[in-house]
Amino acid sequence: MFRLSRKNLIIIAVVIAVIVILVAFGPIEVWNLVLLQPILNLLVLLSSVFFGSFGIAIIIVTIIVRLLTLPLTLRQLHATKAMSALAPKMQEIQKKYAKDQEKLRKEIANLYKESGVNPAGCMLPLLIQFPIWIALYQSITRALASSPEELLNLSQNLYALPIIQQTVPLQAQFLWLDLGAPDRYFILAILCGASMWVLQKMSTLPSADPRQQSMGKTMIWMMPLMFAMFTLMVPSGLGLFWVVSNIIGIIMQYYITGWGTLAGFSLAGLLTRAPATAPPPATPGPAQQLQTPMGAEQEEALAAERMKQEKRLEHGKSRDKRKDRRGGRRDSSRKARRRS
Amino acid sequence: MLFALLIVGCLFLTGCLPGTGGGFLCGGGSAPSGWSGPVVGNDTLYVGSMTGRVIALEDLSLARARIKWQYPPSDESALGYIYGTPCVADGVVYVGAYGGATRDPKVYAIDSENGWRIWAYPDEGSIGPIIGSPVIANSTLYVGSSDGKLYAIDIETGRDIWRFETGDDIWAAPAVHDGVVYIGSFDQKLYALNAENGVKVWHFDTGAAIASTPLIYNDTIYVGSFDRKFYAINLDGTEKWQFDEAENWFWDKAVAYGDFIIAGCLDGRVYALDAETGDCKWYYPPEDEEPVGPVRGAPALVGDVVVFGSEDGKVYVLDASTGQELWHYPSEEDYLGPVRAPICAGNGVVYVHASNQKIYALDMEYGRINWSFSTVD
Repeated sequence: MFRLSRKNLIIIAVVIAVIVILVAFGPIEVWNLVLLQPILNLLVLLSSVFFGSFGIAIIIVTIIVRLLTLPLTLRQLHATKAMSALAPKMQEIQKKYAKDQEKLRKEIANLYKESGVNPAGCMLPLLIQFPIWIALYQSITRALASSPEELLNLSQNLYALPIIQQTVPLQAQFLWLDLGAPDRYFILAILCGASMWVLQKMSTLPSADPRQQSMGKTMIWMMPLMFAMFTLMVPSGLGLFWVVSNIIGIIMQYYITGWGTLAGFSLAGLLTRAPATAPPPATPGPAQQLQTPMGAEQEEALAAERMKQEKRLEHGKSRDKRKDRRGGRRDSSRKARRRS
Repeated sequence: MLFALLIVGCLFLTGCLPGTGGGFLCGGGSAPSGWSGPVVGNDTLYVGSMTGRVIALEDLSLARARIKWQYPPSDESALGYIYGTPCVADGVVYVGAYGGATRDPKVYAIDSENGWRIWAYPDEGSIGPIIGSPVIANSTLYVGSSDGKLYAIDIETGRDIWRFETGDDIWAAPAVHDGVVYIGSFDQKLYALNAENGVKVWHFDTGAAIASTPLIYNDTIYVGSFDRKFYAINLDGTEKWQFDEAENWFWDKAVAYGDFIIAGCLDGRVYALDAETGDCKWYYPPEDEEPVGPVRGAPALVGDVVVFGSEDGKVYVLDASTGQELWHYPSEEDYLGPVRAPICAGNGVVYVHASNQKIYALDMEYGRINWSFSTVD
């Protein structure tokens, strides 16, 4: 007979509950009630606490949300790192079974199973965090209420607390910024682009796949440029949120992977090289090493970084094995107790 | 990485979309469009359209109103958004514009006969965006601006006589009574100023921003605030009473009917308060019914009925003494788009400027529509 594990039962129950709530109240009401309004009111409340400064409120709420989603972020970062460490083996398998697709799929599945890596582990935590980030993003823009219509809209999303009612409309001035309008001095756009570039550079892990390498290279430049451009167009409250979020991301990334491919990077190197010929973000396989020019110092730093990562991964694997063993022992002792 | 790109795309789809007036509309909010109310003078209706033009309509009593003129003409760029209701005095229409991508905020004086511009204030440069309506008393025009200043402008020359600076934006229209100008500001204060020179007489503190225009009735000032309270203030600046049972902000002007002060609220209800004590005499919809949409614009009185528009896209007509609904327009299935502009009453007809960019003339006696006019170019 088909049996469901407890974990699957919980997942099914949660999914059914979410569907029932969505159908009963409507998706927009649920979204507003569960995510948008709490974050929006927290922003307004913090503005009131911090002398009416909406800028400080944005910084604090971004930190709070980053901390609340920290377990998910860590899981995602660890999973990405583990996937990246498997890349050389994956390439070997792909070469070996290039003509037999079925065998290739089986071998890849075996590789994931043996190394205890779940490919969905990179995406799932990101997907779970996604609604929270959208709600935070929407809350900032709604709280700013830069037109009378938006203020009218804001009135429908505030809690009936005097401290919140008294704070609205929010003070849009923060440092040199009018948080409701784009930064005229381009400082925020530069900060946003630079911080995102650092984060991208740190988070791009070594890959043996030339396609991934090429995509990584493009993204390291494209994403910061794109966000810098957005920052020039949208209210600077959003730009501030992106900059703070990037800085927190850099700190977190440093504790997980260290400086990553940023290690050994020098500003002089950046200035003398055009973006298109920038060094690859990863330690490539032997074939790529011949093709890509790289400074000896940088090579050494990347090799050291890679060794560190492999060690961490090994450490993680042995920890998992120890956990499994402990879990096994616990199961057998439970069974023994039941028998007695 | 591609996933990151997807995230960026989704953020922009869900949060920030290009707005119609240039720049970006963020947070899934409403695009600015303006909510100028209509005003009638000399059998002509004047209104600031959502396309940023002042429109004059004539033949109001016929089956179909005709356009008399529009300012600026269609070959010139529009004034930007218009939130304030125009005011008419001595053959001149005065309107304050919020400004937009191509025009700075300014106050315009326009000849009511031909739509020609007489003057604009300021001549050069700009002031803060104007949201409240201008008011005229003793040959002086008073208008508040988002730069926090109240301007007193000579209507002959178009030059300012004095300015008074408050601590925050002014979105309300002023009220003038016995040589004193009353104006509410986002700095949570209602100011009483000498109309001659702009010197402050007193100020009254409420608990939140004020966007509502004061109503002066029987030597009492009535004004609502964003602290969800409605205040009655004596002419010396002392509080008479406050009403605190509403569940959202009071935004626009109240109207007086006998012993009642009737005010719309963003909680989706209209309250009738005793003018002397502040006791709630009735509210619509009653307790056992769901509120209608937020009531932003001022209601209007036509004889013994009170008319108001709501964010739910309907216009409601109530018995002013009991608060009972007489009828509403349109019927259940139809929808005008949010009615945020104040209602204009005249000769058994009310004029409604809805967000679908149409002006409606509603016959109060028969509860039917006389005509509608689209203000779209």
